[in-house]
Amino acid sequence: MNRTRVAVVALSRNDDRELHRLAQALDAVTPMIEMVDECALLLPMRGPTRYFGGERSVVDRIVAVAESVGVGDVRVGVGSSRLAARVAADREGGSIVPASRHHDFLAALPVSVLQDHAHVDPDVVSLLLRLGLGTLGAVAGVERSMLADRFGPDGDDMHVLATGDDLHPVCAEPLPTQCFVESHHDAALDDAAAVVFAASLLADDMVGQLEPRGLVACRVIAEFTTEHDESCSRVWYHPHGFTASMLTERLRWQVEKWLDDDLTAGIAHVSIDVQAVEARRATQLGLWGEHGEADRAAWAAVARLVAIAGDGVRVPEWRGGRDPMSQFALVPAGRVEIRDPTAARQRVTPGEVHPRTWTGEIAGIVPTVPIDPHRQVDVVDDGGQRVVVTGRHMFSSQPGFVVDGVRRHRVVACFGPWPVEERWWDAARRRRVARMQCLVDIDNRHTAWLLVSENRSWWLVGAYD
Amino acid sequence: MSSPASLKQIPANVLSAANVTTLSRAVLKRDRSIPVAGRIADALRAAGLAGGLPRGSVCAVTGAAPVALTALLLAEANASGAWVAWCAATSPNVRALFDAGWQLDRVVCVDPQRDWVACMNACVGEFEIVVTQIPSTVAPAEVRRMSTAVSRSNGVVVVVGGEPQRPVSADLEFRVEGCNWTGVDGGHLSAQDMRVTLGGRRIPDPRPFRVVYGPS
Repeated sequence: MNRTRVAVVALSRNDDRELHRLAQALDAVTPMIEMVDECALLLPMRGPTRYFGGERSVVDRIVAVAESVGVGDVRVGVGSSRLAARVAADREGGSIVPASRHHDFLAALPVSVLQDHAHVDPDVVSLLLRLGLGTLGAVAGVERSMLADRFGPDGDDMHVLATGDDLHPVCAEPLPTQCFVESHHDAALDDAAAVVFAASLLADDMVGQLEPRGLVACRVIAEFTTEHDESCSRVWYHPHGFTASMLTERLRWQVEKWLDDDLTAGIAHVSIDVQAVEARRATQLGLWGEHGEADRAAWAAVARLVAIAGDGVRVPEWRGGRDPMSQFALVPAGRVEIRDPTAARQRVTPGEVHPRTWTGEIAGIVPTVPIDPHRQVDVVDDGGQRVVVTGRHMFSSQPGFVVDGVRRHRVVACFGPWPVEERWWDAARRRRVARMQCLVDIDNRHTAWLLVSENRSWWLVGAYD
Repeated sequence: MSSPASLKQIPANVLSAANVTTLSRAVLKRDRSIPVAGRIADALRAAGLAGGLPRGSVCAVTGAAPVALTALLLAEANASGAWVAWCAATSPNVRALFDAGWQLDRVVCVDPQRDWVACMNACVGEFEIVVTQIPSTVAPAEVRRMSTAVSRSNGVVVVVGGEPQRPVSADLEFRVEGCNWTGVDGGHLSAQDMRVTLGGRRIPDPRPFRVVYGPS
């Protein structure tokens, strides 16, 4: 997969003024500069790499630009995802991670980088460590659905990051907008407080528009323009989305620094263009033992269903044995604890001895539909003689027809018999049965059935529908 | 709930190649369709449906082996986190679902007995996937009401089996035209090779494909 290359430029110390100066200067290298944290910013590399002829030249260019505005000591990291580039920038003097080494580079990183640079909850990271998942490589090796199961959306996100993708792509050009809010100010605003207030109203407006759709903004372009068309545009990104106050804080940072520059006029236009959205997480999700919205909704629905249908609401439970129709039973949902994830998982997990290795189990695929109650049928050969399973576990004669009530179905093929002696140690409950798969012709269509022979009679127990 | 309107307005040619990765990740995460795997996904993709079942749609699985096809159709979604309510008089053989890769702790089977409407009302919108058989006693108006509720929800309803003159008009219909059985020479049925036609309201020209139920 062709991933977007990005560069992260990190300062050696937190300095708002320097970071702002650097961002303004780098606007000449590429647009759409994304603010990462209080001492780093991010540039999409695709355009500049082509323009300046290679990533190394871009890095040199960035360092030169930084020096020209008096910001010495910057470290530039280049990688194929935000996380990789951010970590690369922290390496001594910065480094370029080639696309071919992207995965190896990430795999070797400790999971603590998720906490430091990817907004993953420290509790989740500590839990990963306790589970023995110390590196991103180990996290990437775990099945995604498993992580999502245990950690909720955080698990999903961690897997995406660990496998080298970005939760939201870095784009060098604006995408179609998800939500656009703006305000025009006929009397231009000179005062930083007034601009911040105008920006905070816009942030509120944006959140208000996205909220009913169940969304939050993750990546926004905020632009301030003066009456004289000077403008300052920055991309703000947070993987879990911005609340109004979070975004206002960032806009305050952007505009206060910019107003300190020598502007020739007041601010006449403010806009927020939402580039990427995320489903709003109604609750803080994710730790072991906690659940996602889907689980909660399902439990509530099960409770309502139990009120309507009582014991008709059932959940699967592993029983074991060799009968493919009863290895899993359905038990009333009201009688088991469906809300305990460990218990629920255990309830449906087959035991240690996998049934497939047992003798007497039917081979191949199992019927999809149980016939309940079992229907008594007759199996006869071409001469009309009843077919039975002999003591040597053979058919007494080749089955020719299955007689189901008044209808006779031609047997196209039959397989088995698979004899089973169940509970032979228990005189009261012992059963000696033989199973047979057969393909019958019903209205010129081949249908497969599972039949059981017990005490010389045949029962239809399952259909492959 | 977010509406998939933004998706509908985008012409099909924009939703291709490079654009799709960008769009699907950033823009459409919530509106992402219900994931489907394997050849069914290929068939959906060929029909322009981004390889999944669109949320808010009613799908019908009919023909020769509807339950087997349903097991295949929903395995990926269920395994990746979706709850399934199987609201029908006949429950499936759970072992078959297990073999198809389902995560059984997110499966609930409901026998609606006499009150199918109330049970469906409790299921639609709460479970991402609801599988049902429509009893013949249910009035067509009730079925239409159910379809409307589905279209406003974030999930899908899969109607399994049913008569050709069934009162629900499905957005997608998977019709199993016939099955070839493999393993006939090997002494047991090892797989079911289904010939399926993908049709329905959203598919102007029905397209055939094949899918195999059983270990590949």
